[in-house]
Amino acid sequence: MKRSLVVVALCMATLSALPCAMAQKLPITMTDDTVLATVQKRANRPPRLPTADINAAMISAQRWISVARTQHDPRAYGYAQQALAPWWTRDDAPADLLRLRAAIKQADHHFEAALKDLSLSKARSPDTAQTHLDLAILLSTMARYGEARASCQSLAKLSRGLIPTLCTAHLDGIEGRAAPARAQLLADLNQSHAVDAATRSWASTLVAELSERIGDHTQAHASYTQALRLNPEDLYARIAFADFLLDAQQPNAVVALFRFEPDALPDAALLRLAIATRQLNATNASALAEMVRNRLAASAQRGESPHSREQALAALKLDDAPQRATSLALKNWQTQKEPFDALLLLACARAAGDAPAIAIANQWLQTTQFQHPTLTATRAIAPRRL
Amino acid sequence: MMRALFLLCALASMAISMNARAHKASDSYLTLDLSPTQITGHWDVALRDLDAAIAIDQNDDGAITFGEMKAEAARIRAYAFTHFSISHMGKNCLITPGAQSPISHTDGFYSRITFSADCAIDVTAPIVVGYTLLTGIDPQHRAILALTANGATVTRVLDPNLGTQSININDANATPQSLISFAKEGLHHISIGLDHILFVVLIVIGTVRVHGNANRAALKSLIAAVTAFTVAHSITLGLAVFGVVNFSPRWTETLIAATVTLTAIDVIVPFMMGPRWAMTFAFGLVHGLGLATGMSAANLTPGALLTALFGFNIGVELGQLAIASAVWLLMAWLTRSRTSVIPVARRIAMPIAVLSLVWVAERASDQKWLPL
Repeated sequence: MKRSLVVVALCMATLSALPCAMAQKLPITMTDDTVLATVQKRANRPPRLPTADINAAMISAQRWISVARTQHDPRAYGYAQQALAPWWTRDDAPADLLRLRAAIKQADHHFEAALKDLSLSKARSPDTAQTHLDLAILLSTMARYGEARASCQSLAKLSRGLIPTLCTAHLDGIEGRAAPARAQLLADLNQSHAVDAATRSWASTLVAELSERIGDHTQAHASYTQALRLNPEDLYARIAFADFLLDAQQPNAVVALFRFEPDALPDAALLRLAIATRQLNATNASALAEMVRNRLAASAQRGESPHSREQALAALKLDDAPQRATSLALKNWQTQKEPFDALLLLACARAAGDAPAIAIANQWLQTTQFQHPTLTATRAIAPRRL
Repeated sequence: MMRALFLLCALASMAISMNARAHKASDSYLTLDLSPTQITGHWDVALRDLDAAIAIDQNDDGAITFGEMKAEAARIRAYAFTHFSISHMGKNCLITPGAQSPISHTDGFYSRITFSADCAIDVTAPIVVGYTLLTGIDPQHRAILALTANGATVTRVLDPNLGTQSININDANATPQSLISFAKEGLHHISIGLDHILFVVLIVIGTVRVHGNANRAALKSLIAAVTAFTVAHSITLGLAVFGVVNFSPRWTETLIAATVTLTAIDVIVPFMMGPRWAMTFAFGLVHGLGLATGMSAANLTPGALLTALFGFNIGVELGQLAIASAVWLLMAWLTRSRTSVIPVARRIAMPIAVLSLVWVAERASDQKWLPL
């Protein structure tokens, strides 16, 4: 009797000593000067007036799309959509408007609808280089590589210089030809000098990704750094760099990449920061993880959500819930099929020991011949149980 | 891969990149509580959205202050309530706005407006909500509606582009159905958790070993042990689901495996003194933490969470009861022509002890060697 009571007491003691994560909200004392929200000054905002002038509408939509991208503000896509409202469902809209419409739909992960608009746009104006580039990138996100390649070829006939090379190298990097793609890209990069910083940043990011895939960590690190120096606003590059550093077990470097107010970070960035601080056992790790969970939960409330990728990654790396992560990664995979999504699906499925999901990821890896150092490194490890 | 689209676009405003808390699409949060004679509720609308609609940044300095929010309260109210209406059984329910206060959501501050509407509620008829906020400004705006009636909540996403939406109050009374779905979840969880199954098996075998098989003392002891286990894991499952305790699944899982090992050893060579229920209670506390990982508790209100917890537990119990009964019958059959049950009990407990010991090592070291 005594001994069993000791066991009970010990268990109770262990439980009560656990870190208690009670939800708490600190009361804020407010004065009239307390700033509750920051918005743009009206003079700096794109116009919002309802207009029947199609050119004014397109300029407004384009400016809002830029705001959405540079400030990572999804609301601005809504404002862009509003600017195009009179033409939102019209298939006879001009080619340039269809392209803007596709960009807004793509941001919401309505890839099929975006593809339809871009195809219409191409049919209406076959000689617009930008449409072919947009098509190539969208089709590659949908894992339709044959058609994506055809778009890159159409682009190459219409435009010279770095961008057609980027288009092809992007696909080569997916379809197992990272090394020759990188060589070609570096050669072209050296020849083209009159290229704007944003394009150079994209090229550097792609060089970094290709280097990562063939295991050249030194070059990958240098090129990611270069990309961010060229364009510090480039969230895609920053996230890709963070994922590279997390793979390389350098969470400290990830924390350094996101030295901003956590509140101000976009979801994808905050998620990487939370994963890094968790690996470091940092004091703010659980607070950041909670912030990520709250944000993802808030986004999920809208119903169909373009956040499955982040949800899956959070379930895997913050919640240690590989089964849930796998079902989210599978859901994500139904719409979004970038290399990151395949690797994420594989990581979740392996952690959950989910053989059918592993097979889905492997199917893609075998069809594309995609290379990545983590694939050869982890192939030997059997599926893990929770 | 948004960059390609970006290239040939004009770089309109390279302003502050990581704009403070602007990372979510536009939602408002609308809560309706139905009582027999009236509807009360509150409505949270983002200050950013209000500024887009009616320019509440009075001095246009790019910052909306608490003072500005208070000064614009009347305009906010006027704007908001021309875009929101409730009707019920063909009759418009007149809404009276109440207090306004700032409230923080994941993407910044919102203005919370309380309100009440006088309406005689007939639960068989739908509530019709007219919602058109931000039409003409942001077609991607939605309202997240939570409607509560009789203690149950139904949530809906309202699309302003559709104008009105009709919500069946009876949908909020769907408690039995969700209870069953959570019970199924619990049943499923126990059926795939070999560690939980083996623990229940060991409780039965351990009881039979001490008391023999078909007698009243054995049954009494077994019921006490299983009940204690149930009570204990319900406690920690509840604590974990409500976020009171929270610790790494790696250690929970390791501890669970350890409870299986200890119980198996106790069957082979009894070393734990005292009533078995005390032991199963202590170990049940550990198992409850593990059960929490199998429960999908996301996005539930505390009330719904309680239902979920109850249902999940019912499922777990049904599963355990089935396992315990089967093992009890199996033991009776295996020991039918023997004078002592001890050799049989030992023979079953030994492989379980070995298996669970490997689990302890696997889970503690975050490795995986066995396919089980």
